[in-house]
Formats: sequence, C-alpha cells, structure tokens
Amino acid sequence: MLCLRYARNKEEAEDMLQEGFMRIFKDIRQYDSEKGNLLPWLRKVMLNSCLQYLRKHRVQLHIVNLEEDNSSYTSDDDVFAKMSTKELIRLIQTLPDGYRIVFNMFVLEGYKHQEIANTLAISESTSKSQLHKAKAMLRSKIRAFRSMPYSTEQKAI
Amino acid sequence: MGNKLENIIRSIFKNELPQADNWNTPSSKVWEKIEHDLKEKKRFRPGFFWVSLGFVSFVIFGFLLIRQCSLMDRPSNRQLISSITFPAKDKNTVNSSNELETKKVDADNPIASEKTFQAPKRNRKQFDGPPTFIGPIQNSNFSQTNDAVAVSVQKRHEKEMAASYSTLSSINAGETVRSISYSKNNIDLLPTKPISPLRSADLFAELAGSPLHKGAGHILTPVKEKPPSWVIITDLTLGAIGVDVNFSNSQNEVVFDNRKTASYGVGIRVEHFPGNKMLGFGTGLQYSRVRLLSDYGMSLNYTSQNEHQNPDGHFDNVYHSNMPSLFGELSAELALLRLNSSVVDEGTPFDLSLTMEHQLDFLRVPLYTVIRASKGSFRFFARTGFSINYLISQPTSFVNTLESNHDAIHHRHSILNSSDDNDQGLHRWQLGVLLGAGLEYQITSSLSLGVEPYFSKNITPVYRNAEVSSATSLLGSNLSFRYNLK
Repeated sequence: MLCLRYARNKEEAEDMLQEGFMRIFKDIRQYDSEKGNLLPWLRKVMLNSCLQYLRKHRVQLHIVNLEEDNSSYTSDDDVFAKMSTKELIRLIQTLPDGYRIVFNMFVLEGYKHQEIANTLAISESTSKSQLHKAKAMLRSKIRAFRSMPYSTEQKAI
Repeated sequence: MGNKLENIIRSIFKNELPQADNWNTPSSKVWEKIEHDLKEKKRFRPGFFWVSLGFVSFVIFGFLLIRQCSLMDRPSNRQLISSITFPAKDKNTVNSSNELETKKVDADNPIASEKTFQAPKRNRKQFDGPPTFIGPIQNSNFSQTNDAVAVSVQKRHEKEMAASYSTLSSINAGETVRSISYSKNNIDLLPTKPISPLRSADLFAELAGSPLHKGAGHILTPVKEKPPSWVIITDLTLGAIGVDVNFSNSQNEVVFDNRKTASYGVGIRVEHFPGNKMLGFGTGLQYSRVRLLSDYGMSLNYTSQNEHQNPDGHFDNVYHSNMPSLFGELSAELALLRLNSSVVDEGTPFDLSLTMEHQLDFLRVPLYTVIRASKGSFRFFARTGFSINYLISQPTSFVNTLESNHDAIHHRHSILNSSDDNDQGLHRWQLGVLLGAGLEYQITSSLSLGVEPYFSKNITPVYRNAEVSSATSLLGSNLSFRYNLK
C-alpha cells in the first residue's frame, strides 16, 4: 500500500517494495525494540526506500501552476468520501511526482512541513505549496472524472 | 476546507483495507528476486576473510618488529663498555698529541691497526667513514683534553651530544649516565648509543681499569656496512588493474568498457643475498584481489516471441542473452516489461546498458632477483622476475539495474548465471612477469619501511577460447615492512 501510494504504477511499487525488503533484511540489526515498535520502524525503512528510489530515478519536484479553483469544495469532498482505497490510490498515482510525495508524507504519514522540507531538501514554503496544489489537482481530477459519462463515481453519486 | 479533505482521505486509509487482488499484491517475481538477492548476500566470500586476516597480521607483525628492533638497539652500558677491549700499551701506542703521525702509522699497517680496536660488533656495522684516531682518556672525570679523547658521556636529560674532540662534557660522581658516544670535532664517529641508566661511579670504575684510561691511543678502522643476508618482507599492496579483453559476438552489437578497476592484497616475502652482496633473489606468498567493473551497452531488436501478459495486464518479455566477460560468454536472463498501454513494433531496436562486476582472487608466488643499495637512510632497491599465480575464485554478478532507452520497455530483473559453469577454458594457473623499484627508509638498524611502485603482467590470459582473449596487467604500489636478518 505504502509503495503503491508513492509509485506511479505497480511496476515502480514492486521495485520499491523489493528494495525496501532488502534494506529491512540488511538493517534489521539496527532495530531496537526499546526505542519503539517494529511496525513503525518497518514503515519508516520502507518509506525511506521509496524516497531513495524516487531520488535515484531523478524525480524532481515539479512546480505546476494550476488555476486556483475557488468554487466550493464541499461536493468534491463528498465524492472523495465515497471512494474506495483502491480508487484513491489510483488517483494519487496520477499526481506529478513532487505533489504525490509531499501529499503522501503530509496527509498519510503525518510529517510536518519542516520535516518534509528537511527530508526532501526543499524549502518549507515549497512543501506547503506542493501540498496545496496536490489537493487542488486531486479535486480537479475528481471533477473531470465525475463529468465523464458512465463513470463509477457518477453512478455512486 | 483543506483539512476536511485531508481528514476524509486519512479516514479512508485508516478504516478500509483494500481486498488483496492482483493490483495490490506483489507478483511472485518480486519475491523470487528478493530471494535471489538474499542468496547473493549470504554467499560466503572467503576473500574478504583472508584480506582482513592478512591486513591485521601485517599491522601486528609490523608493530612487533618495530618494538623488537627498538629493544635490540638499547644495549646496557655494561655490555657496551665491556665489549671494547684494548691492548696493553705496546707498539700501537702513539703519541696522542700527534694525530697525523698516528694516521700514518695506521696506513702503514692497517691490519694491525684494525686489531687494536675491537669495537662492539653492532657498532662496527654502523661505522662507515675515514680511518679515525681514538685517543686516550687523560682524566677520570672526563674533563677537557687537548686532542686525545674521543669518549664522552651524556648526562641525563641532555638532548644534544655535547662532546667533541676538544671539549668534552664532564660527569660528576653520582650523576646518571644515559648514553655514550664517540665523537671528534662534533662529528660522530659512532652513533650515540642510549644505555640503561648507570651511575657514574660504575662507569668510572669500569673505565678506570681499562687501557683507555691509561692513555693508549688506537686507530679505528672503518667497517663497510654490508647488506643483510636475509630480509623478511610483509607487503600491503594497492593498485589498479588494466584488462585487455578482445571480444566478438556475432549475435548482438556489444560495447565493452572497463572502469573502476582496483586491486589490493597482502603477502609475505623473503629475500636472500648470498655472501652479503647487493644482488639477491626472493620469493614469497601473496594474496590479492582484483575488482573490475565493466559497463556493457547492447543493442537488441524487440521481439514478442517470448512475451506473455502478467496479471497486471502488462507484458513480460524475457531475453536470454550471452554477455561478454573475462570468462567468455556468460548466459544472462534479462527480464523486461512492456506497458500494456504501449505498442512496440516487432523488430524495433532498443539499447540496454548494465554493469557487471568481476572479482578475481589470486594466490601469487613471486620468483625474482633483487638489487639493493646499502648506504644511507633511504636506500634504493629494484627487482624483476616471474610470478606464478593461482586463481582461487572468480565471482561475477550484475551490480546495477539494467536500463533501457525505450519509453515503453522497462527493466524488471536481470540474473547472471554462475560463472562456475564456465570453468572450461579458464586458466587457473597463470604465469606473469613483474618489475618493481622503490625506496626503503631505515627505521632502525634492522627494520625499514619500503615503498615500491611496481608493474606486473600476466602472460597467461584468464580465459581463452575462439571468441575471447583476456590478459590482466597490474600497476600498483607496495607498502612493506622489511626486517633485516644477519
């Protein structure tokens, strides 16, 4: 799941998973049970592997200027609430790399902007801006998707 | 508003676990690849063990040698003094006030002169200069004399040797003697020798009864230092390897590019100089490891012959190709993936690039002649000869992912079959030539530290068949401790 959220497709996610497992096997001796539970440690190692993979494949944070949509978000948010995890991941995967990474780290991993900025070597304001634009793009995509005839989301509504 | 969206998404991921299906379950190939990588990591690499052991042995051996030599160079004063024997006042006794006359006497009868002064054995080896007059001691307190005294003592805590031909340090009863030297006009005739702390009274008592005190004059005949008969050498070797590989492959166009070559090793050698001459010969045993990273660029034509659709909907395409290597062609499985959204025409050319690592572990027995200078703190030496090499192991693997230049074709995994199957045509015993020259620095009389740039080339190729011919050459440097035996 974590790898799928950070990857652009399943193939990338599998590569991330593979590298993550190798890293876990390699670093398992570094795990100290007195410092915390195993699961968060595994998540952290896997997340670092995902970020390293993305860095290795020269993923850059793309600043994409989207037109601000000032219309009410309420109806969009309702659509999100009715989506399945799978649909949501597929939607997140369509985000540009930089948006996707910051969105995942902030919304789903619970990192603060300062921590994200340190991890990705970007400024804090860039992190905030990427998150904002990621959310705007998600809404834009859901709206476009909803407008398509026979889309599953439209049926759900 | 933004927070609401975030909370909704968080709650979806928190509350709903997606059902396992093809989409969110890793394919079996992922686990196979992980298993494969883990097996690679678990494989015991004896070379690393030996290199580590050798390095530790090198350091320990060097440390022990230095310690041993420093202890040997610190004889007790009693031994030093007692070993100097002087004849009774006889025909060799000369007028100490006439040094020139004394030298003349010495020149007339050098053999007799040499016998008159039997310097300590260790000192004889280190004394290398013109024939020198050693005059008698006039006073028991070692006070200044005119031109006749060449024995002096250094008081405790004095750093510089104060004695000279005309001015001598004096020593008072009760003072402690730390070193003794022989000098004249501020030129050391023999190196200053540290001695065990000795009360001056003991030293006076010893010298008082010697002919030296009674005014005998002697000629010290220099003794040329000769090379030691045997030298034990421990080596630490670092270098870069050059590989000359000619390869032809009729199936694919292959570009072979060597880079990041390295070699390191440890060893022990022994050199013998018959008759203490400057020319000798040597042999030994060395372990060395050679690492070679090779970049390969391949051009393939796309074929859907082995293509099949995996559960994701994408297409797996496995190529079996023979990769060039030092050991001939190694069969490799290159698994590629074509996105189901893309169409690649049959026969479309695309490029692949990957990196392969060769590691060669050798045991070497060098056989060589050596020549070495015997003077000075820095001494030149050179050697040339043959080397008999045995290839212990030759693991080979891919070290990075294969990359494709085609947007629709992606790498999935690549596996290089073990080179153990390619023993046929592999030359485990190889003959090489070596050439080296360097400098050694004398740390003590019996221990020196040497640095030696050297070149070696294997005459026998690592592997030879109709398509591949490979020979290795090595340009490196030896760092060695050299322990001189008598």
